[in-house]
Amino acid sequence: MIPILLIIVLFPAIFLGAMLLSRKHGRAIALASAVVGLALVLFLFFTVVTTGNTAITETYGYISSLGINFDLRTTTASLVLLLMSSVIILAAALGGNVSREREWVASMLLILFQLGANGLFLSGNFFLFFIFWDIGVIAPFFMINVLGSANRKTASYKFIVYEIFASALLLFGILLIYSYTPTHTLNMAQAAMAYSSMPAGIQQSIFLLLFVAFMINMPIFPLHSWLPDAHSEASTQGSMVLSGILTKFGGFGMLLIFTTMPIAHSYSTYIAALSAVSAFYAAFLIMRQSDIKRIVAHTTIVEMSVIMFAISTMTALGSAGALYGMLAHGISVAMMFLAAGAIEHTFRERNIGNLRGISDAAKATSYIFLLGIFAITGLPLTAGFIADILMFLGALSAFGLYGIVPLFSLVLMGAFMYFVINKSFFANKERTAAEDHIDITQKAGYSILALALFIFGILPFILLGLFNVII
Amino acid sequence: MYYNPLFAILPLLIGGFVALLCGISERTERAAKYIALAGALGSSAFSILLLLHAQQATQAYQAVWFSFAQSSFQLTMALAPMNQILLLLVAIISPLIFLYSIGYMDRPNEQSRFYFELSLFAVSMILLSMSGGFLTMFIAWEGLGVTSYLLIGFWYQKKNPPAAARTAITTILLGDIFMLAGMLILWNQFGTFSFSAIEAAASGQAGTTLMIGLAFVLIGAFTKSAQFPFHEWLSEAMEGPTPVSAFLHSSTMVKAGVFIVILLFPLFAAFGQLLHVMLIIGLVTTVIGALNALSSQHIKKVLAYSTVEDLGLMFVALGLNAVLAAVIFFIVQAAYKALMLMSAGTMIKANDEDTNIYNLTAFGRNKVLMMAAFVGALSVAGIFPLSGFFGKLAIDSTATSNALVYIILTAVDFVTAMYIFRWMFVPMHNQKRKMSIQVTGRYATMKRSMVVPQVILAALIVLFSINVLFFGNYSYIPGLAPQVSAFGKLIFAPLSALVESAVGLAGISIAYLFFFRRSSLFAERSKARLFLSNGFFVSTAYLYLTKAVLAFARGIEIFDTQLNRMLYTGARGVVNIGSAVKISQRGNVTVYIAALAAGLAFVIAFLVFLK
Repeated sequence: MIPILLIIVLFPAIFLGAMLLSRKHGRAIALASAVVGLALVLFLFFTVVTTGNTAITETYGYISSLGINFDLRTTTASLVLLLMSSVIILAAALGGNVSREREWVASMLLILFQLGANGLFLSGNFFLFFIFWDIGVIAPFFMINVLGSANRKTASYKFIVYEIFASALLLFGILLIYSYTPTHTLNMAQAAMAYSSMPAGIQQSIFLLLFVAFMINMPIFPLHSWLPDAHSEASTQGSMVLSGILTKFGGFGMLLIFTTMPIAHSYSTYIAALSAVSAFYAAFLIMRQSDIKRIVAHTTIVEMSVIMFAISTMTALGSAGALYGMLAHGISVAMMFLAAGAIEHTFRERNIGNLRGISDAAKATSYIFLLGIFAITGLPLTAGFIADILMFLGALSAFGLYGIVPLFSLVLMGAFMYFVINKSFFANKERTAAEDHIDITQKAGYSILALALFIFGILPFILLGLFNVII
Repeated sequence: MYYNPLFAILPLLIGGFVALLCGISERTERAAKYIALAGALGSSAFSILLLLHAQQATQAYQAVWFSFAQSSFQLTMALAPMNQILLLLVAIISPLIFLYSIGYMDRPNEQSRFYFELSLFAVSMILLSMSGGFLTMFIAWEGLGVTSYLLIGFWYQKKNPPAAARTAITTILLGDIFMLAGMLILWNQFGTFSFSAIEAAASGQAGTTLMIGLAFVLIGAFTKSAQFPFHEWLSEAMEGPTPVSAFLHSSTMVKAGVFIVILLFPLFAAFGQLLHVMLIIGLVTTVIGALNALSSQHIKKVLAYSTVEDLGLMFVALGLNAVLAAVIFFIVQAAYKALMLMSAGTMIKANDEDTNIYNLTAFGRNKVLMMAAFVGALSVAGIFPLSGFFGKLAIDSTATSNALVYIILTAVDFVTAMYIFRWMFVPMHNQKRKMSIQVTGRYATMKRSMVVPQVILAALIVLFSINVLFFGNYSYIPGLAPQVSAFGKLIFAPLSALVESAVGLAGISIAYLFFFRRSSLFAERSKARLFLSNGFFVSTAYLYLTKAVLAFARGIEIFDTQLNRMLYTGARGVVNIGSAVKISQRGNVTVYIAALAAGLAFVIAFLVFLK
């Protein structure tokens, strides 16, 4: 039996080591790491599909004096998110760094983030979850602080303050879990069984601590304001992994607590209301933006709020829809950030007022951005549509007709996005680029993401077959 | 096995993608149009085979697309009578449009994109016409919206198309979301997307949830079918290439809303309120459409408003619970409106892309084009025995039960005859006045591929009349009558036939007096025209709505800034506490001693004070 989970979690470390030896071939090594990552994840999927068993666990001795093991496990949610993150990282490694600036650092950070993401999605206990969470936060911090654009310093500190605050809350929650489980364990599966026997106050504290931590990460109004700054100031690769994968850490955590903690029932209605407000709030905020990356960043808040709304329904349909929604959103938003990065690189301009009629100079980029808009508004045959159906059917069965309300935030968001595309991309004024040359690797990045979007949209049954138990 | 519905889709789908691939070089791009035309012909052939088969046996095709837990989501295709009618219309019209495009879209470097988008549109249209459930319908529905958006904005380098495309997609997006909401509400209640299963499960029910679901579906239908207050996008959509206007925005796509309401009519019929909404919205739309058509000077926008009026008439018929009348008008309207727009396209082409009817000159010495346009215009005006007469008569006959509706419809008939002949007479009058050699030459050498479809459509209009008069079939192709009889038997009121003819002739005469002899009315800015040509200020109202939304967004932004500042201040406060406490940790002995002394003094003072 191959220790496949351990390999998936730890193999990026080997590439990190290789990175230290060779400063010249950073980009190639990152690409190799991404390809190996996707191959391993596909192999894992193959095993899961052939055996029909989504719950693989591996345990290795770690800190035995505290009763903490190196527990790894898969669930449907972790498999799906792992697949998504591998695809995004591959696209980012391929096309994310058009300007070829500071390739070594950028590639290093990408592999570091890959380590964090793989570890987080596969971790079987809260100790590992916390460690990989922080690795996943540190890597993007440097993607903003070192590789970002003009306001990178402020944005990166804002990002790290919010995220460290979130991990502090997470740590408190984990400590509470550790002290109140009868066997003093951090294993997620064992903790899940112990929650119901804890005192009500402790359950509430744990739930609220973890909820706020994940809520900052997702992000949900009113703790969202780190996101537009961080996403717009990061490097292209940084924006892709931040928006595509890092926000899903929070979503994954939410799925975890909402499916295992019985106390969540008493809060679900309030949380649903909060996330509905958050979706509309962000949809209105989009209308005041003029920076193309900030616009895409705000769509993330809308979509993640809708996903939070679906999670808070606590129905099978809603949770499955939320998971599918995270998959769809991760891919489509990474695609849009990749396109936005190409625009910034080609035209040296991010303000939609100054970008006029760029579609002739950047054809592939314009159509990819348009496809991204279609995907986030839930066009059938893209993955977003399947997610919308499942999420809102869950919401309807949980909240009755009120459940359909957040769907209309997509109208506000979509209307503005079409305004953007017809003002800046397909417009009557022609703007030619100094260098209207798009790398073949960039196009390969587009193709991978677009292909994934259509595969999961046209053939949803590949994944939905695994969706019996989400966590 | 040739009766599988997928065969009707495949040729066009393949043709579209091959046409896109043809765009890689200029030499191969020349082949794109023929490949797309071949695809359209193939799809039509398979559709007609399917129809011939379906007349013997109506059957539904079902496949599970994906399933989750106990819920399975099925793609359903069906060939119920209404499906057959739309499929036949699309099968007839789509090859004609592809043929017409060969002549109209003669510029290089845009053809492979055009034929790709047009083929995808036709695929969506065929899929829509065969849909037997919400899931299939919605895939096609969104396909229509997206391809329509791309085609309206096809010439995005020009001045108006980007804004027009944006108006269209925004309206359509709103409708799509309402439609999605409606179908999810219905699924939540009945656990299925299939139309027939929903109708079976809902029979006799009249709950509020069902009504809200249907109302959402109806709003979706209103946006697609350009009903008040969502009608403005259709006139703007005329910025697209003319084949697109003739195909999407007059004869097929805009009727998707009517189509879906007819498919679900057994459900709607249970709710009197919804029927009233249809009737009132339909009447308002009809009147607005007719009056705007009378005042517009853009040769295609006259026809666009005329389409708005036609769609309104269909909803009036549905609101009167007269599905049959709506269905007949649905069939009739497709051919004459496609013909009229093609005719407008030839005028635009001959007059160097001018679109103002007061500048255009019509037809030169090309009698074929003129005859075709006359047949179409007479049919629009509802003159016996052309197809439009029967369509209008079907609606007017059912409206006799309601005096007010009947009066409005008769007035609209009068205005219709007037504006359509204004549309014909003004350019013909210009022709007498200023005959340009170049324009006449262009008419004389008009490409065959643009003339032939018009002749075929004019012939179909005549064939329809023959079919009705001699065989009692409501169909263009003899021997292939889709099942209109499934909707009941029509009784024409002879009196309203007389009234309609009289009104139509009166409208034509007035148009002749005002526009052929003198051609002055509505040419200049007058108060009446100002009001009419502003589209009853619907666009202005939208402008204010947009401003209100943006102002609200501005408010939210201010709130967000304040929230951000509050969080920042809070964080700052924590830092300040830190720096205050910092003093105690510096290891400065003087401060420590001073603090000790102060504390001691305080304790002593406290003790003394207590005493």
